[in-house]
Amino acid sequence: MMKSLKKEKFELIYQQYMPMVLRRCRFLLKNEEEAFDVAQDVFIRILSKQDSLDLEAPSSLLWNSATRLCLNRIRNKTRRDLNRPTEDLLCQIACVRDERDDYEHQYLLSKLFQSEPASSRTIAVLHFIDGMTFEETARNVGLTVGQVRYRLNTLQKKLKSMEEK
Amino acid sequence: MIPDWKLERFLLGDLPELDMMQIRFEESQDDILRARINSLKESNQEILSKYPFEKMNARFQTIVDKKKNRNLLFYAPMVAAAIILVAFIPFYAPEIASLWQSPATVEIIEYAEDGTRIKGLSLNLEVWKKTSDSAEKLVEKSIVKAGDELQLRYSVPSKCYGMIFSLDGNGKVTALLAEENSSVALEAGKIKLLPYAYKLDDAPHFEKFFLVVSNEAFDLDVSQLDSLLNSKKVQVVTFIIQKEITSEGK
Repeated sequence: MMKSLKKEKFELIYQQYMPMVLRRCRFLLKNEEEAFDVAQDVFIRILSKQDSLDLEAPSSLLWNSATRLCLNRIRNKTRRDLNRPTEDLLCQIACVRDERDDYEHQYLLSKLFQSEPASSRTIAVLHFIDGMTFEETARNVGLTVGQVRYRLNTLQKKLKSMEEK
Repeated sequence: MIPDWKLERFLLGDLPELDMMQIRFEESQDDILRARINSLKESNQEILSKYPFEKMNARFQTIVDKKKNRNLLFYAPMVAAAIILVAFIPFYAPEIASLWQSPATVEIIEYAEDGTRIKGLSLNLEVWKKTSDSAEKLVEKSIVKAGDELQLRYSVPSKCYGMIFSLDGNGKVTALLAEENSSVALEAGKIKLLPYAYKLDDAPHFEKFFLVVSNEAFDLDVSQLDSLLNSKKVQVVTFIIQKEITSEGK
């Protein structure tokens, strides 16, 4: 069983951030059941690793993690061709192959909320969908503006080549 | 218009103070913004009443415990196998167990000048320089020059794998006794002469010879030379000679 201190800390994080995480998932997935699944996944990851996490001000990291998990969900559904339109930008971003995904997936649990490497797909959603400026995006993912620009340029090229195919 | 992500952080108090003040001010002036913020607050209540912590925590805990158990089940056979290996290898496969002994040890036997074995000889590498009618045994840091012909002799105290190579002042490594880059089986018993003489080129400063032996076969990877020489599984003797400084300064 969880020790009471851990439980209290976890409860505080849940009460504070669950609404934001779930709203984020609802917005991206447009499906309550799936949104709840992904939000739950985010918190299970916190619970599994709460000893090693820096959870002082985790809003951007929770936001980014929820974003990435939603993108994974969208991509998996699209691959299985489950009535998913592929013309919208979010879906296209979700389907872009990002070499960092494997790395991210591999290290997700240990790095979550510390210094996890940002996926270009997550960066693209923050910028193109959420409307964050380059500076805001860079601050949110812990990169420089130049790195964010470079990642977005690369991703846009991939999007373009996907469209041409 | 203030984007959703920023409003979320405003509600959480996770924005820089300047942004917080700006949004508070706008909230007091802008009905639409105020409605958006109120809508988020209502949504917070809706979500937390639909998914209350106590109910969700029990659910999370069950999932986390299941995952832990699954991990334990996954690793248990491997742990058991490792324990069995560690416990029984010394009895059933002493040659494998010997790999764990470090550094590698070879029996020390000494040789007399006539090649007969005398107990206590260490691993040995000798460098001889050919003269017009004979050969001169060099000592460490002897001065030699390009074109000198050298002959190497070595002895090993017991049967083992070994290799001789040289490193010159240009950083070039040359295998002198090896099969390509792999060690060869060395016989104990007598002092062995390399089958050919070694003619020095004009590499500057020095020439260093290495005799490396081990109980097991090994390879020479020039990029990993240091790790080979520092490995606890090998024993190394070296012999260094200095290059005569020529008029070109080499």
